[in-house]
Parts: sequence; C-alpha cells; structure tokens
Amino acid sequence: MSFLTGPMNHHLEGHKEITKHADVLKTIDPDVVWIPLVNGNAPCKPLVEIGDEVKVGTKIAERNDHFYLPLFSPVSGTVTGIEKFMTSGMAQADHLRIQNDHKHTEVRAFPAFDAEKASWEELLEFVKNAGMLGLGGAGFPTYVKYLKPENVELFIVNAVECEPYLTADYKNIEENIDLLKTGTLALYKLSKAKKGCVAIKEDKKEQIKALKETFAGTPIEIRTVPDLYPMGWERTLVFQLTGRRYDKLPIEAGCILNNASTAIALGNAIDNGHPITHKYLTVSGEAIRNPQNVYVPVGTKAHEIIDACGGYIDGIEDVLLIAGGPMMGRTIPNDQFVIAPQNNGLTVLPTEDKDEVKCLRCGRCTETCPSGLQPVRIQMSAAIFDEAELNKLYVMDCIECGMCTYVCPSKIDVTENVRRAKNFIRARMASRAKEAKK
Amino acid sequence: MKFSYRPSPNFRSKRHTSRIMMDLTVCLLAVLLCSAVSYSIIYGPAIGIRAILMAAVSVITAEATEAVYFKIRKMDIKKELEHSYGWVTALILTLITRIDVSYYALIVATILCIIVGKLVFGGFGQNIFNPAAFGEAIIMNNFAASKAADVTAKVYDTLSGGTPMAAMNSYGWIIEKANFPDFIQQFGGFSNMAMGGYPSVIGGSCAIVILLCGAFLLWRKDINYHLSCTYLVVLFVMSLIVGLYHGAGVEYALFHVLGGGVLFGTVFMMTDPVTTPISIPGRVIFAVGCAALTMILRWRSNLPDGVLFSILLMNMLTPAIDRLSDGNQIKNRKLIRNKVLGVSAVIMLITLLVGFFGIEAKHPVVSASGANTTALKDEDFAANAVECTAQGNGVYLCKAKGFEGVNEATITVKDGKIVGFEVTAFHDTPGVGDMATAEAELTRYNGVSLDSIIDATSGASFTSSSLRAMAAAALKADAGEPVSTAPAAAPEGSLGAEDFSANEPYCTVWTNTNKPEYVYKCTAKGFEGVNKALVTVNKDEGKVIAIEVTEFNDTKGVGDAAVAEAELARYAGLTLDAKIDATSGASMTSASLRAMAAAALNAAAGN
Repeated sequence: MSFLTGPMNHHLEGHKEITKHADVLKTIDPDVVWIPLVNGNAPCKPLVEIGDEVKVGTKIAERNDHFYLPLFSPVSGTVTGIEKFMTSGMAQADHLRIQNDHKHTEVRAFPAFDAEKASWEELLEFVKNAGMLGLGGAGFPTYVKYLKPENVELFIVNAVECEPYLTADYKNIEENIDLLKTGTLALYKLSKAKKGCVAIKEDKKEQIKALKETFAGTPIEIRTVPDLYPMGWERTLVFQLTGRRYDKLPIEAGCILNNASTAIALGNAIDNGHPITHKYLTVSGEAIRNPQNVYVPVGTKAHEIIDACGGYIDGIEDVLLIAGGPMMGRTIPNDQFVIAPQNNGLTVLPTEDKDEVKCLRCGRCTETCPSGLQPVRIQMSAAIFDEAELNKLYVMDCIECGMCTYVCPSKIDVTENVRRAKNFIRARMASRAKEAKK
Repeated sequence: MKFSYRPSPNFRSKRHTSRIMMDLTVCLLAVLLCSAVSYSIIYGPAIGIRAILMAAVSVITAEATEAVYFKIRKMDIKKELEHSYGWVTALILTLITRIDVSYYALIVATILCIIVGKLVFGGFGQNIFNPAAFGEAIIMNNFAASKAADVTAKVYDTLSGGTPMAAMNSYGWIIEKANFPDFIQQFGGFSNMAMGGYPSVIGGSCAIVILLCGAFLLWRKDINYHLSCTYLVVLFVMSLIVGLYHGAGVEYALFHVLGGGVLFGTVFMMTDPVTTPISIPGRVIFAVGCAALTMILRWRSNLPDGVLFSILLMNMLTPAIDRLSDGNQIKNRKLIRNKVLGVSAVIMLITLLVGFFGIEAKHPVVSASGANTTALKDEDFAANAVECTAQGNGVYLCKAKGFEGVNEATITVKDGKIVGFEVTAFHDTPGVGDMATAEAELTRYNGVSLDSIIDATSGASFTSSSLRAMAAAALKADAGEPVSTAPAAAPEGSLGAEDFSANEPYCTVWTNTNKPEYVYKCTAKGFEGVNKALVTVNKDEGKVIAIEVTEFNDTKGVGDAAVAEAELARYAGLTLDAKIDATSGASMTSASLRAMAAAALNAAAGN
C-alpha cells in the first residue's frame, strides 16, 4: 500500500564532493588526549592509575555492567589525571588524560588470530575482548548482536553513509579494503547467516567496482541502494534489501547489520592485532578552510583538528560546530570536546538566520518520515500537552533523523518539537513510575 | 569565534512556503489572463478587462483588510502581509466567481472571507474552511441579485440552455448516450469545453490551462497528487457507473469531470493543504468524500454546481478524518488501509444508490441550436425582425437581427429555390458569429426551398438564425407571402401602447412543444434588479396563457405584491390590445411583469 504511505525517504544534497577526493590528513598527533570513560550511558572503569606509563594498545579502561567493553590507549605516554567535561554527546563524563610522549611505542593488545580456523565461540570471544563497538554512531558493543544468531537470513555490512557531508567511511574503505574483507568475512561467520552483503549507495561507482573485485569468490554480495536519506538507518536499509519491517531489532526480520568501519576495525584487530585507537573523521562544511578527512587518535580535542584543517574561513564570526553530519549530529556550543570512537565527522557551518513561517500542514514531513510518523500532528498535540494523542501517534518511535525539519517548507524545527514531545512523555512516564513506587 | 547552538538537523531543503505560494500565484494569474483573453474575444474587450479589474479589486481589498487587521492587532504589518498570502485567497475567490458579480458583492465577500474565513482562526495555516470557497458561498447565498445586468445579458443570457451545468440540470442530470452528441454540441463539443468557449465562473473556462497549471504544480511538488488524482478518478468512475446504469455513455462521465468547477477545484482548492487532512490516507478519504458530495449535490440539490460546497462540507470533517489516520503508518498500515477502504466503500455505495434511484432523465426542448427538425417555413424567426425588399429578377435585399447587430444579405431566388446567398453586412461577434457566414456554411443555402430543413451552425446559433430568417423571408416574398408587417397601432392605454423601454424587456423562445403554445423566457428590469419569468403565449390567438415568475430580485415585502398568485392570474387571457392596471404599491415590479408579457406577445406576433 505504498499509495497510502508516501516514499518515507528523500534525496538530500550530499555535499560529499567537498572531501571525497582530498587526501586523508594523518599527521595530527596531539600532546594530550582525553579518553572519554563512557560507553552509551554507562561509565567505564579506568584500569590505570595516575602516573602510569601507557603504550599504544594498553588496555586502560573497561565497561563491565551487563555488557563488556575494553578501551585501549591510542598514544604512548603517561596518565596524568581524570577530568570531567562535556562529551560530543552533550553529557558530562570523566575523561582519562594521557600525556603523549610522541614516541608511538606499541604493545600488542592481543595475539595474532586466525578467524577462519577459529571456532564460532572463539571468534565471539575475540570480538568481545578486542573492544569492537558500532562505529557508525551508536557505539554499541558489537559482540552483543551476535550472541544468539538464530535464523539469520542476511548479514549486512552497512557502507551506505547517507549522512550529508560525511565521507569518512568512504575514505576508510578506500584505504583499507582488504581489512574490510577480513572483518566482513569474520562477522559473516559469526552471524551464521545464509547470505551476506555489503550495502553501498549506487552513486559511489568506483568503490562499488573495487568492492566487487575484492569480494569476488566470497559469499558476500555487493548490493547497491538508491541515494536516499536515511538509507543508512537499519530499518530503512533492511526494508530496502529484504522488503521486511520489524518491531524492535533487525534480527526479527532475519538480519544482522554492522557498519563498514566496524568491520574494518575488526579486520585490523584480526590481521594486525590493533584495537580501536584511531578514527577516520570527516572535517567538512562551508565554514572550514581546508575540508578533508583526518585520521586522528581517539581523545583528540575538536579545536586541534579544526586548527589542523586551516581553521575557520576568514570573515565568519559565528559558526555551528556539529559532531557528526548536519542531519543527526549535535551542535556543540564549544570546541573543547574530544573525539569518541563512534564519532565520524565534524561539520562546521556558518550560522544563518532562518525564515520561519507558519505551518501550512503540507504533510511533507508525514510523507517522508522513515518511521511512519506524522511529525506535524505530534507537534500540534505536543503544543497542548495531549499525552494520550501523542501515544496514539507513536511519538516514541521517532529516531530524530531530522528529515521532518529538512523537508519543512515553513522552516519550522519540527524534529526539535518532536524531541520535546518525547521528553515530555518520558517525564510523564517517570513521574508515574515514581507515584507507583509510593 | 562564536559557537551557536541550534538543535539538529542543521540542514534544510531550499524549498520555502513562500516559493510554493509564488508558484500558485503565477498559475492563478495565468488562468486569469487566459480567461480575460478568451472573454475579450468572445464577448468583447470590456468583459475581458472586467475580469482583470475584479481580480485587482479583490486582491487590493484582501491586502487592505489584512493590513488593517494587523495594525489593530499591533503586529508587524509588512512581515505579516508577506506571510499571510491573502492575495492567493483573493485570486482564487475571483476565479470561482461569475463575471457578472458586482464589485460591491466581491468586496464584501473578500473582506468577510479574509476576516471570518481566515484571520479570526489565527491567520494563515489555522483556518478551518477554504477561505476562497467561504467567500464564494457568501456571494452565492447573499448577493445572488447583486449583478451587473449588462454583463449578465451579454455573457450568460446568450445561451439558450444556460451554462453546461444548468443545461445538464434541465436534463435531470442524466443524458442517454444517443442524445449526448446533440447536447454537447450546444457547447461546441468537448474540445470547446476544454478550451473554455462557454461561460462559467471566471476561472472555470480554460480547462487546458488549468490542467497545465496542475501539471506544473505537481512537477514543482507544490501540490499533492493523492488528493487530486483520487478525486478525479472516483468522480469519473462513479459517474461512469451511474451513467451506464441509466443508459449514458463514457461521455457522461467525462462531462462530470470537465464541466463546472471540477478541474479548477481539483488543482487550486482541494490541494489547499491548510484545510485538508495531513496524512495521505486522510487525503484519500477527503477526496472520496468530495467526489461523492460533488455528485450528490449536482444530482439532488438546486445549487449550480456541487464542487464548492463539497469542499466546504469536507473541510468541516478534516479534523475527524485526521484522527482516522492516527497511529504509525508502518505498524498500523493494515488498520489504516482497512479504515480507508471501509469508509470509501460506504461513501461510494451511498453515492451510487443516490445515482441509481435518485435521478431521472428529463427531455427539455432545446431551442434555436443544434440539430434542427423544423422545415424553414415553419421555423419561428420572430426574434430576428426580418425585412426583405425585392429588387426584381428574384433578387432580395434582406435585413435580420443576429446576436449583437443587424446582418444584411443579398439573396437570389429562382423557382422557389435559393440560387445565391451573399452576406453584405455582418454585425455580430467576430470570431464567433462569423462561423455561420463562412463560405462553406453559405453554400448550404444553395437549392434551399421553404420545405428544406437547415441545421443551425453550431456555436453561432444566433447569427445562423438571422441568416435562415433572411432565407425564409426571401423565399416567402418570392412566393408572394407577406414577410414584414409593421405592427398595427395598438389602442390607447392598451398593453401594446405602453412604453416599457426603461424595463429593457427581452424574450427568447423556451419551448414550443405544445403548438400553438409558446413558452418564452423573459427578463426585464424591475425596481432593484432584473426579474425573470416564463410567459406562455398562445401564438395563434396572441393571448397570454400564464406567467410564472422564475426569479424575483426586487424589494421583498414591496415588489412581491405584484408577483402574488392572484395578481399573476390577471395576466391570463391578456392580449396586446387589452388594458391591464399596474399593481398598486408595486408599480415598478408590476411594470417589469407587464413589460415581459408585452414582449412575449410582441415576439409571438413576430414584431
């Protein structure tokens, strides 16, 4: 019944050509790095004391609640303290301060591993101990997805990168296509899936060709998807590839997905014994002098990366500094935050006035919402705090992809209004839970 | 360096509401221009200019009204005006208005629709009713009589059967397949309807231009195809089914789609997002409801067309329809789909039942146009006031009234047959009437005798009838029959001697099925407005049989003394030689009635 639903996606101007062909800047080596001691909302416990010497690859912290995730040092040097400041996720968190000695002394974090010969259990244990996490943005520990791979039909490596401006995955694949192969095959084995594929946007023609050559003779197919937003979102991608919808997790539709850079990180761990210490990061936007991709240690401060990219364009006094791409990335009102493993871009845009007018109920947001919601009606119900109606409109299904604000011809902050509606529902639910306890 | 905070996303499409409104404005102006041009060609430049002036008056009124409102509310006038888009409302209102509506009515309607229809609800984006439809409803319901009579006479009274909608109404909204070609021929066929060659509302004329605008707006993604397409398809399919049930063909369904305000409403009014549901399922239900109401109102109500009120009625239901599509479009897709199908099915079933059992074909007589079945000698050319003078050798110089002026021709008759027909003076509308005087048309008169049957030239019936009148008169003169008789002087004080020139009475033959009874459709100015009546005359005896007032536009409570049943009964048996007193206390209205009676009798007498 697509006649009754609208496209649920939309083509966006990618602005990817700004950084797509520029070389990756790899010389950034900050004097100090700050490792955020947080994964998701969970704190990570430091395993080193102040004054300890660390090397590249030393395990320095771990998350050990219901999930396990180790963190590794990206530089060699001395631990000099723990400081609390704002992360790129706009939350206050402890950061482990490491003074860089610029010697790059390495310690092998884990011994060489043969993924092909290893048993499924050994492979899962390796992925867990290697500290693999979703590098596409979520930062979710990777091994958790593979704990019970039952009836998996399709394993998907997500190389779609639908967020505008970002080309970090593209450059990462370009430079590490062999590691992508190793990591993808290992994850495919782990998924016990009947079929495997790498999903990539149809406009990246050269990379599709390279991927087809690399994966020739393996069970992994290369599947192209249209240049639409949010094609990289799990639900949209699964629907595009299989025609199936699911309620909570992609496994319900027989799919397991991982980001391409996560697969590359796993390949790097298997082939080279390297944990996740560095990140490919796109620095782009209309307010940065030298837009390009950078390869930086985790924990590098944003302003050092901006400076390395030539700073802001002269004459621009007011910018939006966004951790990530402009659709889903958060605007951070300072440049003192550090790069976490799940970050993949810094977008710097000049701040412009917007010409907001009244909503004309055109319904564009309803037609393009990938979650099948009616943002404009959520907005109207939120304005009168109609909790019952908001629940009927499934407000909590919103993933804040930003589409409704993007398409709005009246330039209303629809996504933000829906976000507030979600916060309102959360607050109501919390207060009711409190009442129930009494 | 300043780091600003803005909630995500910080990426927006370039499309702006103002751009959508500009696209709409351009399209509306295109439609207006086309109407003005086609009116200028058909009815003369004054009518074309009037269309543009009406639009200008309405736009200025709308903007002024909004400016005053914003001033009183102490808002930023310039900014609010820019984002209130009042001119779009004004343009649409003008385009769904008839060309003969007075400026006064248009101004009042504009003010009311801007204030009551839009601003009091909170302005643009908040209104419940389509403001333009609201304004037109005001004009239709309250200003039916506030018309520029000269424009009415020039544009609308020229059509023997009225506008296509009114003509269809006189057929009971159903026409059997066999009769359809004759019917549609009155309006020059579908091609002429598509090009706007018949009077309707100002913007209803140029179907082609409206469709092009629709295509343009769809391409620019300014309007949504779900609503428009569903509406047109449902309207077509339902009228097709009902038509087939009653023995009509596909043309009947096509007429429903092409006629009246359907296309304009589809492109410019139903697509108004403010007053229609937000979700696509909601829009589909809205469209189905509109289509059903359009048809039911056409079939069963006495409104000229159902489109306008179907939109207004569905506007009321918009919030309820929106609630029908509550839920997640993915998770509840089956439920939502079933709701749409269920509601649509019920609506369509009701409509079909009304269509099957609620309408019945009628067979009015269409006069002076289309296929002719009367021999030349029996045709009634009284209205043409024909005169012929013999020049010898069977050559006659003839004069006869056409549509606007008197046409002249030189006709040569030999052995009771026409052998030469040359138009020497043409004073009808160029581009219209001259279809009848084209060479190919004139050759049809070769060999014509008084017993011949000559069809009228379609689309130029008035000019054509002046030519046929001259042909008949020349043939009659050649046969020694008298053709032009000066009216005998009427006795002093009699109806025939009264001077009704101030009433500007005008009569056309409505039906003549019960010969010698002729029904004349007459208009005459009363005190405030133009009154209309059907006057039945016994042509042979020159007597009024009955007078029936069909439209009364004089002062209520005063003038209607003259149209009371007892008063009208006085007209029965009236002749031109008889004397009839004015109704005391309602002399002006009475004069208009007497003028119409006299005009009908005069017409019957061939004066």
